[in-house]
Amino acid sequence: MYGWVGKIVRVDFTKKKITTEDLPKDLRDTFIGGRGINSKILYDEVPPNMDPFDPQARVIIGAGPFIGTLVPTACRGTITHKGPFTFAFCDSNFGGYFSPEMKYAGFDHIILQGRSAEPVYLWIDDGTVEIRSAENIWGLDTLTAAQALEKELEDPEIHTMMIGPAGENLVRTACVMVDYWRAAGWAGTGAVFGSKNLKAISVRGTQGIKVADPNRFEAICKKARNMMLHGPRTPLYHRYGRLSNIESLRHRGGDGVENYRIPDMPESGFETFNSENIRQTIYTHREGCFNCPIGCGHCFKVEVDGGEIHASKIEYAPAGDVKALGIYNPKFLARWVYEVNKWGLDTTGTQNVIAFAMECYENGLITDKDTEGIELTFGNEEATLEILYKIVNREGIGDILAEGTNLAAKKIGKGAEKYAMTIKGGRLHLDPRIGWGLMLAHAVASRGADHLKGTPWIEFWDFAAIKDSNLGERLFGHPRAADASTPEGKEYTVKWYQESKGIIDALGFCAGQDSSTSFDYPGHEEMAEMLSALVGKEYTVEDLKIVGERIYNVEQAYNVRCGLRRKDDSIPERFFDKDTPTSENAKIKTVDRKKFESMKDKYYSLRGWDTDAIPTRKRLEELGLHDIADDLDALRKEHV
Amino acid sequence: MKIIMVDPSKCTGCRSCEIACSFEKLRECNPSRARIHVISNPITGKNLPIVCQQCRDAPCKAVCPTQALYEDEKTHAIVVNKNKCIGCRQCVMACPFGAIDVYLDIGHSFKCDLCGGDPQCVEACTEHALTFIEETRESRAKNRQVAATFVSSTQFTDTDAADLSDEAYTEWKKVV
Repeated sequence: MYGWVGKIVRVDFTKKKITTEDLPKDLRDTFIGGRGINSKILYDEVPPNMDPFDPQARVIIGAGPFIGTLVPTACRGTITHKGPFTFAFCDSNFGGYFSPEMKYAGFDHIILQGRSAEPVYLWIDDGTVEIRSAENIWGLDTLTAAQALEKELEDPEIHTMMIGPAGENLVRTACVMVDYWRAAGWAGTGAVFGSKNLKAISVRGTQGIKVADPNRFEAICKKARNMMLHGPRTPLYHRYGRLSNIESLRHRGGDGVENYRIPDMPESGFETFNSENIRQTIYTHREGCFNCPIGCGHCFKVEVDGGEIHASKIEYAPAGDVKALGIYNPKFLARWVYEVNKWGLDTTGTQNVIAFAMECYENGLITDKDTEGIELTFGNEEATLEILYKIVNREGIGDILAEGTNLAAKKIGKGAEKYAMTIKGGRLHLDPRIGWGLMLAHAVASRGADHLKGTPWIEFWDFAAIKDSNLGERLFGHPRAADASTPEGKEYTVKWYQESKGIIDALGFCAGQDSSTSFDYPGHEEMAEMLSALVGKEYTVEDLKIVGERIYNVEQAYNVRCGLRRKDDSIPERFFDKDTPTSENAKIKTVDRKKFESMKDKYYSLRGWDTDAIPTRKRLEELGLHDIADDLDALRKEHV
Repeated sequence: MKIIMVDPSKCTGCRSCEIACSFEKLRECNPSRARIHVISNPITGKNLPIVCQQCRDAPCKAVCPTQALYEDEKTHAIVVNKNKCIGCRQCVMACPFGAIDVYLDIGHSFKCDLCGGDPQCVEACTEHALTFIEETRESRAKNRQVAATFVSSTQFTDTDAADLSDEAYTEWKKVV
C-alpha cells in the first residue's frame, strides 16, 4: 500500500485486549485519513448520549496519508473523542514527531476504549503493542514523566504523548503533551486519557512509507516546500513565530483583554507586550516539527525557582491568553507556557476559566472566602499561578474551575453564565468582532468558538489578497467575500475554508503553511497532486473538496445527534450588547443580531442544511452519506 | 574535496535531512534507513545532525576484511562496494560516529556517499545547518565569523594621518 500503512490498532483497556484491523478501503476513499476517518469512527462508535468519560467512549488518534512522508510539514495528527466540556464532537490537532513515528511503527489510526483498573501506558514498538504499568510515572509532571519513560524503555529516541497531573485529575481542560513541548490542547483530551487511567503512549518505528510515483512525488513536494520557503509570511514566522499575530490582531481591534470586556490592550501594555519585545526578552532559537521548512516553534528561556531553563514552542495562543488575563509581561508569558505544559493543561481552556473566575470575583460572584484569600483580579500574576495550581490539583475553588468554564458557571450560578466567553462550551480565542466571516466561522464551527475550523483568513492578512483585490470574487464568486466589514457573501468563504481545513487535517498537512493561511502557500491543487503521486490514485481538487464537505457534514450530524441546533451556533451575548465597549479599529462595533441570523440562514442554505442546522437527506445522499441521512431522519421522527 | 559541514546552532531538529536521504536512497520515506540522523535533546533544546565525516584515515575502511569500502575517485567519499560487502558489521563497530549501519533488509553496510556529489540532505536543509562546501573554504568561513566579531569591537588607528603634516597638506592642496 502507498501513503497509508493500512492498519488500525484497537486497544481495550478494560479487557487488556489489543487487536489490529485493516484500514477499510471505503473509509480511505470517502474520508482519506486523519481527522476525516477519526470523525467517522467517532460517529459510528460513540453513541451521542454517552458521557465523554464513559469507559466505552473512544479516543481515536489518526495520522493521514501525508504524515511521515516527503510532504513538507506532514506531521499533523488528530485526536478525536467526545468533548469533556462541549459534550459533542471534539478533536485536537498536534504537531511534533509522534504521528510520523506512529506510521513508521505500522499504524494509521489508534482506537482507545475501556478503562484500566490501574494506571497504564501504551508502548508501541514497531508493530507490537503492549499495555504496561504506569505506576512509576503516575502523578509526575509531563516533562519528568517523559524522561522517566525514556529511561524505562531504554530508548531516548521514542516519541511520547503524555498527560500531566491535570489529566489524571480529570481537569476538563487538560491537554496531551506530545514530544515534550507540542500539545494536543483544544479538546480536553488529557482528561479523557485520564478517565481511561492512561498516562502515556510511547512509540518507536522503523518501517518505511511507500510512494506510488516517487519522481512525480519528489517534484511536487519540492515545489510545495519552495512555495512555503518563499511565501511572504515566512520571514515573519521565522522572526516572531506566531507571535506576530499580536500586532495583526491589535490593528484590527481584536486584542480582547480581561475576558473580552475591554477590546484593546492599553498602550502601556503594548509597549512591553509586542512581538519584538517578547522576542528580545525571552526568545532563544527556533525549532521545527517533523519535515517543516518553516520552523515556527520558538524556543525561549523561562525563570523558575531563581534559575533559567529552556522551554519550547511559544505560540500566539498563550500570548493571547496572557493578554486576556490582563497581564502584559513577556517573562510571565514564558512562565505561563512552561507551567501549563508541565502540568498538562490546555493554555486557552485554562485561561478562559481563570479569566471567567476573575470577572466573577471582580463582580462579587466569587468571594475571598471561595478563593481562600487569593486576590483573583485581572493582571495579578501571582494569583493566576496560584489558581492554576489549585485547578491542577482540584483544590478548593480549583475543583469547580477544573470543570471548564460552562460547568463552572452553572455551579457558581447567580448569573455567572454571562461571563462565560464560550460557544458550545468551547473557549473563545479572539474577539469575534474583527470580521463578519470570522464571527460566522466561530459561531458555526463543529467544535465551538473555534478559529481553526474555517476562519476565512482572506479577510485579514492574506498577502495574495492584498495584492489582488479581485481574488475574493474570483475564488468565491462573490464581490465582497473577502471584505471583513460586511456579512454579505460570508457563507461562501466560511464553507470554503471549513472544507479546506477538513482536507488538510485529513491529509496531515499543517494549517499554518497552506493556502487557508495565504494563497501564496500550497493550495488544493498541490494537495491533490501530492496525494495522487503518493497513493497512486488520481485525485482532483473537486474530489478533495467533496471529502472536505463530507467530513464537515459527519461532524455536524454528530453534533445534531448530541442535541446541538441553530441556537447553539452563536457568540457570547456580550458582543450583542451595545454597552460592551468596542475597539476603534474593529470592523464591527455592536453585533446586529438580525444581520447575524440572516448570515447564518444563508450559510445553512448553501450547506444544504435546514434552518435548524440539520443536514438534509438530499445533501447527505449527494455526499454518499446514506447511513447518516437515515439516522437524522429517525431523529426527526422522534421529535415530531 | 567537498564535505558536508554541520552548523548545529542553525539546526531546528526538523529531520528533513533524514527523510530526504531515505527518499533519495530507497525511494520511500523511512528516516530509520537514512544515512544522517538528528540527535535532539528536548530538555536543552539542542539539535545535532550526525553524518559520516568522510574521515581521511577511515576506521571503517581500515577494518573491512573484504576491502568493500573504498574512496570514490570523483567525490573522495568513502563508499561501499555492495558486491564485496559481507555485512559483518566490523565497520559499524569501528566507526566513532555511528555513521554506518548494516540492516537485515538492506543486507550490506550503508553510509553517506555524498549522493555522488549532490547531497540531498543539504538540498533539503532549508535552515542551512548543513552545507556542502570545499574543505579549503570551510575554515575560512569560520575565520570570517571570528573576524566579523573581532573587527566590530576594534577601532582603526589612523597611522597615515600622522605621516602628513599640516603644512605639507596645505602645500598639497595648492598643487591640486
